Amino acid sequence: MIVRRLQKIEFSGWKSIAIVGLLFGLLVFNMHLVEPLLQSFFPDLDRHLYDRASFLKLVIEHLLLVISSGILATLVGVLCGILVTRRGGRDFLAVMNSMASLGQTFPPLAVLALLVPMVGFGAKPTIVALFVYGLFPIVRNTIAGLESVPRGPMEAAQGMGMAPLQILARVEMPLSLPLIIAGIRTSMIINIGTATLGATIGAGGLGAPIVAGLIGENPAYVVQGAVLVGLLAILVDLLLGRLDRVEKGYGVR
Amino acid sequence: MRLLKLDKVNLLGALFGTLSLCFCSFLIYRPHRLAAGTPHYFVDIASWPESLWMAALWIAAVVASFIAREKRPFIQLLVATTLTLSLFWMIGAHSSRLFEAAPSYARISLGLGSWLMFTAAFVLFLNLLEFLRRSPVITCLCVVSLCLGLTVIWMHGHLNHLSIVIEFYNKKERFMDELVAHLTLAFSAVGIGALLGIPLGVLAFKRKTLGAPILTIFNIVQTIPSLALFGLLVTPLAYLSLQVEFLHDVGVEGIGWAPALIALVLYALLPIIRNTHAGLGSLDKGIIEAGVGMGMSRLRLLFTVELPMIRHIILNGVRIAAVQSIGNTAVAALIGAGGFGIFIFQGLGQAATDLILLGTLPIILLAVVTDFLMQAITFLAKAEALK
Repeated sequence: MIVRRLQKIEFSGWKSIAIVGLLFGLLVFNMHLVEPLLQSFFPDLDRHLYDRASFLKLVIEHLLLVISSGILATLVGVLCGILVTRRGGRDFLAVMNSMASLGQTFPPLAVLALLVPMVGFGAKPTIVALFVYGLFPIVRNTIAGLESVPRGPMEAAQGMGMAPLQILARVEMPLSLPLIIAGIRTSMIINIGTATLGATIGAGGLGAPIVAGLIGENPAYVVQGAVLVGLLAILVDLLLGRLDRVEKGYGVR
Repeated sequence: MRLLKLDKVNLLGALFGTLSLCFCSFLIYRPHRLAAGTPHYFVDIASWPESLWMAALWIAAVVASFIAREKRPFIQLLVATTLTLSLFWMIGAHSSRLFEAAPSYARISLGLGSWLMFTAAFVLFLNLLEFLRRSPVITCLCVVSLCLGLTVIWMHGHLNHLSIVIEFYNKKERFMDELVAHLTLAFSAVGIGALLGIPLGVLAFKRKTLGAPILTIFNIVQTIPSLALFGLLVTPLAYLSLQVEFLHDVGVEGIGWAPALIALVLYALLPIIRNTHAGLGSLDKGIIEAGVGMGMSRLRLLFTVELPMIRHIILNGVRIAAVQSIGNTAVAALIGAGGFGIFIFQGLGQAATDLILLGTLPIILLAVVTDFLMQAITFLAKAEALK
């Protein structure tokens, strides 16, 4: 019975986006509503609500980290992907591809920690780490997308007398957009997680309550941060998945 | 055939290395462990034959970009190997020389230029990957000579004055313990993940009604950040440990290995389930029908035909899970599960660069080596499956 019912719910639909979004919004603005619940769970604690910063501020900090580095990684990553698939840059294609796949095997925490000696503590190394780490999936998917464009449309465009830039903008990019967006989605989801780790080097964000709770042995703080950042990741994934689907529909038309 | 075709990647790497040698700090000297460092440039500390040797090697790498095609890979490989070994040797020689003239608590670490030169040498190797793949004998020779050279340099005690090596010797026993803890945690999670994931993947494929919920649930789990999942498991496990005596006796607690292992298994499941599911879906219907026609039972068909044929796809999922697991285990140190993450967080807490490096370098190495080995195994399994 339960399975049947689960089947009927399409998890990537607008309805679930609305539910997750509503829950997330409710918790961000009204965390005090769950205070009685936390009190009954953790009766031994003196403090139950994380109060060193408002949750709205933490969410904004978190999103700023992810979005600023995400935009930068998208711009640079797509540009790199385009450059190495042009005639002049083809020589770099293999190296770029192996570097991107190698980079993806690097643990996020390692990248983050390595940047601290170079850039210092706080938001700056976190943004750099998110940028570097976010590049790999985007570069890989851009290359894969551009390489998967079939010969037919390309030749047709050439036959129509389109300039290389026109072909890129009107044929190659639209056809490889679903894969590029999938890359951006992967990169964003990984980076929401890595930004959480940023709290360990003082970058703030939703990781801050988790780290504060783990260090100060206050599980209530941990739960608040973890639930919020989990919901945020699911919400962003759903939204980007939606975008992906809209794009695919567009491509088929 | 054109004799001269410029190798752009090699040229870029070589120029990058040459510039790093000339204009970036080679070693960094600090009067004690946490003090600010003063950079030392290669040209300042090296004798002129040494400077000449290193400069000649980088220039040889630049020149190698212009050599005729057939002999080029050999020359490039020779230059890159010599460069890497010379770099280690020079770092060892000069750190020892600096160390002798300094108080015993002084620390010498690698400067930006050294890191950049290693990166440049790495690019030179990466550029030759295609060539190396085609000639396994030369690859083996190259790897053996690199390993031998490094062993000689290490045995010579040359690198013992570098701060990261000093840090390693100071914490040697702890290092070995954390290595064991890290490997145990990461790989037992992948093992359990494979044991649960493959049946779940088969189930998801065979029972379509179960397939969608299983994949959806683990997709959601995968999007939850690791730190959050670790944190979320702490409280329920602490509660369980208090309620159920057996769990408490086994050592299950709110913090420690238990929540870490559960979270790591949950993360490991998705790639394995997804690949098993996708692999079964990619099989040719004809083969299965042939099996059914031969009177094979469904179970027999699964174990003798279907699973062996998609072995490489499942293994690829296990590879992704293993690499991810090694990275996530580092985070698990925050909930007291041990592993190399301990050094990272200690190092971050004390702002001690050497300690951070002592944690991060082994993790990166573990992840990269695991990835490489699993890729090799997957490749062999694929060759076997296609036979």
